[in-house]
Amino acid sequence: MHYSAIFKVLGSIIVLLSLTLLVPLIYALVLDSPDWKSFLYSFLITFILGTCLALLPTKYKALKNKDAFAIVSLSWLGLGVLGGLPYYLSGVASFTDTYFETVSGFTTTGASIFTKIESLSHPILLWRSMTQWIGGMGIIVLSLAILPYLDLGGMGLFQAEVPGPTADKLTPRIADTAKVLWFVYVIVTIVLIFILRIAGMSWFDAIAQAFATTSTGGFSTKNASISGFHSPVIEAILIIFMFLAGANFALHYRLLYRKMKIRDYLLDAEFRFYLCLTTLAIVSITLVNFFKLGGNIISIFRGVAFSVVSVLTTTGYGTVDYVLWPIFGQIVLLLLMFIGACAGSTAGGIKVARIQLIVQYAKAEMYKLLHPNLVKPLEKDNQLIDRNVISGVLSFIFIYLGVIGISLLLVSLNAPDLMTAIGAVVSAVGDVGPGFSTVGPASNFGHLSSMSKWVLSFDMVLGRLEILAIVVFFLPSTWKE
Amino acid sequence: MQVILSGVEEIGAYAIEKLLQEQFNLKIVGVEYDSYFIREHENLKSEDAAILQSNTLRTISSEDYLFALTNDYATNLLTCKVAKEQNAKITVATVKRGHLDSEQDKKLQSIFGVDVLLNTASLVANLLVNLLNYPLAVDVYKLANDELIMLGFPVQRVLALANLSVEEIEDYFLKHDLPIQVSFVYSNYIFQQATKQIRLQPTDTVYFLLHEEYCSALYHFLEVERVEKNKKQKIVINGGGQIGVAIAELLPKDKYSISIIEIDEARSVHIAKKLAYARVLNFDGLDKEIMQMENLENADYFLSVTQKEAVNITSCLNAFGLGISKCIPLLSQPSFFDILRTKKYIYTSLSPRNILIRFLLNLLRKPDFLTYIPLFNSTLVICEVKIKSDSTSIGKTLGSLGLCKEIKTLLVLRNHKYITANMDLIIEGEDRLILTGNTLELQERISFL
Repeated sequence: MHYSAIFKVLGSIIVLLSLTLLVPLIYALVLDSPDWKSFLYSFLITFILGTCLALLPTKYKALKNKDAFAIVSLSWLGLGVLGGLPYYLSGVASFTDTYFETVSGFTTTGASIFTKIESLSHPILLWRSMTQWIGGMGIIVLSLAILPYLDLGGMGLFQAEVPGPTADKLTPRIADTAKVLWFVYVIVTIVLIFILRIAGMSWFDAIAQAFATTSTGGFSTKNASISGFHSPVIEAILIIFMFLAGANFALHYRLLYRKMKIRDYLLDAEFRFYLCLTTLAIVSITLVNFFKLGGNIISIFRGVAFSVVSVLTTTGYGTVDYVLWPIFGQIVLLLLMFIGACAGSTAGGIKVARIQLIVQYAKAEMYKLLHPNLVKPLEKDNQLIDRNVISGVLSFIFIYLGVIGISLLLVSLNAPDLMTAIGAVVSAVGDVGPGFSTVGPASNFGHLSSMSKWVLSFDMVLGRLEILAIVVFFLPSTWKE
Repeated sequence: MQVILSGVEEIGAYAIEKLLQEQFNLKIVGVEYDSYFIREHENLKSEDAAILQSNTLRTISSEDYLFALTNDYATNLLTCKVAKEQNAKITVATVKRGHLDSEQDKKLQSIFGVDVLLNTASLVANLLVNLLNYPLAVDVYKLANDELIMLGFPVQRVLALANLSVEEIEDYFLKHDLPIQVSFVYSNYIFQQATKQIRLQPTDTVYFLLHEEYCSALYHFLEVERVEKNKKQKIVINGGGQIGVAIAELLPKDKYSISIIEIDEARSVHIAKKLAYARVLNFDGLDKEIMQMENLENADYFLSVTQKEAVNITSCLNAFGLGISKCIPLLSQPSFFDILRTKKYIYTSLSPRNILIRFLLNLLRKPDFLTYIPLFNSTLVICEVKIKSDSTSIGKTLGSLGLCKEIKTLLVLRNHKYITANMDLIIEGEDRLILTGNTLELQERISFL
């Protein structure tokens, strides 16, 4: 393990983080908010620490895979501390809660410990949303854009960071890919800000909600989440943008840069599956809720559509309390929490692409029972899938479920009830946000025990880095020379 | 002119005989082969040395042809390079790989001075795909830039031909104004030129020469439906080697549903990845039970193209037993053709060596003959000759050309039209004559044209 190189890169990432703290600092100064001191101290601590590490001399020019995983793991685990300094120094939360909230931000989970969100200052709320926006495209991906200047290779970091079964390199150079992804991300965010402003939100709310939507984070500036805006138009806009944020960003890139047409989205097998899944979930839950609960079907549809898209894309916004729905709808949402959205998006979960591969694999295995001698390679979008990818996906799912199992055991030691434990863990590992029962969309995670919060914080990082990067980091063999 | 050959084991004894029969000065060079060829062929010159070290290679003249046919692609390329440096007239190298039109192959050809780069598997596959286009035909030859075809039909499979004489057949075509010729009859293991008095026997195979556009008319005469409309034909290919894959790649996907049987698992996975449209099965093609389990018994064609002759013949026997009526084995020994020709379970057979020697002879006979096709196990050939604009034959009748009676003119191509040859036909410049006859006679008389 090349420690000097690892810490040097970590230092750069921390410096970048410190620079982002300047935004809420300046905002606090403009508003003359007392929180400006918290941000100033946070900036100074982070900047000095980051600079010291970044200036470390190193003889290593290229990173090995182990180094890459170490950087990714340490940055995601460590930035929860540094990023939480504003909360801690301003006194709004304990250290555990600070860490939980910050990790929830950077991992774009959106699970919150705050009960009275609207009582937080605007700079704090802005930073809260910013953590999600930054986390959405991955601090590491941003760092890839400056790695050439540090003269350190970045391929290993790219594999560790980009979510999905196979990393979709849009351009030959990784730094260029990172820049391209960021550019698409920024464009979508800016467009959403303006649309939300036009829809009636204030500039502040539009910016904060846009940050949380594009990143599929889900931190709202309202206690009642999006329902606090009382606007079907805003809900409709957010449904569309959440859905887009849950799609593969490579598709958006091709639309913007490669003259792809909008209808060509349907040529992508994963997108088609994602769209069908969303539609099926919305229709089935709406019908069941309508027949079981009665009421206005349009209103039911509105609430169901928002909740399904929010959960499937792992955004976590809420407009209705789905805990009050019939069991069928809650089970569907629980399954959607497992599935997540598309690979190459900012969403969490197992990812639609993996589910598709497993479904294909399962079909092939069942077909083999009838035709044991048939040789049929798996393919997606007319491209053959290597057996190694299938093995990787199966391993991932096994470890994913294993992590959920172990976390459930730990959280259940202090959880108030079964559905709380299940909802909290599945939501954390899938980076969704709200869970069920006492951690549902109308509640928060503040009442959970400290141990549960630490477990869930670790789960959120595991989920954000798709499990394996962190697991590999903690393997003894990683540390052997 | 000398024909230098390396890799003689690839071409086989039959091909050596054919080249000697065609009166070529043949020299074989190689270190692996045994002395069988030298023992059996007294006129054959040989050099017992590795081709790249041989003196022969260094003494090639500008009239000589070099055929590098070993299994080693690199050796073949290097051999051609050395030969070209000695100004060899034509160099031919065989390659085992599939694709010959890649940029890399074209570059290699120019770097190594290879005039003709060929793949036997592709030649076999091309022939087979052509054959499948003509139901009930057991042989197909193409001439005149693929405009003309010669199709062989076994009498025992075409009821309409039973007991007909050549004269009766020709009268039918004449009556219907069809420029279709009966060119040869294969009877009692011998090819003979079709003469009017020949009456077809059940064991005979009759050959028709015609333009592609008259195919439907021929099939109408034979009372055979050429192809069932809108029906995809099912083909099972036993053997996923070079030839099997080449065949699968060449067959039109909209007309054929292809299943490939490959015994080697890794190879079967490779083929499945390469040929997404084909159904690849990993088992031994001799296993009848699995063939039934995989519903292969309702296939229209069964092709066995493995490297082992015995496997090919046995698997065809099995497939026929399951109910597949058209079974085609790959045979390396041309002598098996005659033995298996009349067997019900063999529809027809293919020989890579036979196909290769036909290609090479065609090449050797240029530019005197535009097309030159020797018939199997016979001294007869069918060929295409062009009347040059300065030829002394222009203005003369066909009958006065001085061709001996053993040389028959079947068709004349003039201004893109085919004319049935008759003795009073006046020859014009740029006419192309389709002739059949004895190889030696043709070579002697070619100067008259």
